[in-house]
Amino acid sequence: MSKIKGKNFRLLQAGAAFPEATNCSISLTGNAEDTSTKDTEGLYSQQTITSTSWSAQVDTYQSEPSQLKAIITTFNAAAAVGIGWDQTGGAQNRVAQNASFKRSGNALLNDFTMTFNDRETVQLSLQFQGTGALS
Amino acid sequence: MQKGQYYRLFLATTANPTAVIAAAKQMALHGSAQTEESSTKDTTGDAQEYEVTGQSYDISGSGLVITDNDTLLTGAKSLNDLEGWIKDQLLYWKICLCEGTNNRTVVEEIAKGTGKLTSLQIQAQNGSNTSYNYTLTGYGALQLGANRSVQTRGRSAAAEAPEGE
Repeated sequence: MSKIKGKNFRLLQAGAAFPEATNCSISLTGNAEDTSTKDTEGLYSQQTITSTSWSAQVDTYQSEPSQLKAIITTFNAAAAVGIGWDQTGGAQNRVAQNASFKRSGNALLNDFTMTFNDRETVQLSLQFQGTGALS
Repeated sequence: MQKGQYYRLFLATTANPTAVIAAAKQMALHGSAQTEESSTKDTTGDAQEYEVTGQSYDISGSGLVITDNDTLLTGAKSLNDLEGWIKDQLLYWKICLCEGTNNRTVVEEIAKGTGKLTSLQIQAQNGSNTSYNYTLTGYGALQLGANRSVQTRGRSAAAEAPEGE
């Protein structure tokens, strides 16, 4: 059985891995509705998934001021950007491997935090709300 | 990777602030967009679509209160200012990458805007330094800082930012 190490699974924007990333996560949600009726026997609910949604989050260190400015530009644009995830390898572990489970879609940058603490490395936390389907 | 101490918050009641928040320990810029589901019956498939319907941001931070000849100075001198700013006072801020003595020589503006101080807490506990933390709530747009100009990292001709105001 082949396991994917956490460092080999990365979030990508416009096909490029977020640099200096330390953690990423993807959340897929099936929005469920209880469709049980009086006809349903017993007490249990019967959930129907009526829509799906997804979000993604990535934590990174920051290496260049231009990265910070790019995030502000993206945030202010309030427009969807291409986000995906894939298994990675190669130089700096940033080369997408085109894995069978890779996915991509459009997402809005809906939350960011830039942390500038004394005697600590600058850190970024970005959260994306997916808009539309993953492919 | 760069360390957080090189990024400083400048704050004043007038545009283009030159007064740095001194003796700062922590600082974070946090942006948040309100998203609203915008999918309709016209939307193909089950996936929800969203659009941004609002944006906001805040800056939070903390620092140490230090003394000079028994007079509170920055954090401190700044802290005195901050206390007076807990009111409906528009403040101008900018976050800059800095270098040099006390990490106060501006190399590049990262972001700027206006905001209002919405919280200030001073903590004095036995066994610890007296510290403060604050929250500045953004007023209007989060703006991109000016591009790197005559000042270059490692060869800055900029004057040292004064301590407090």
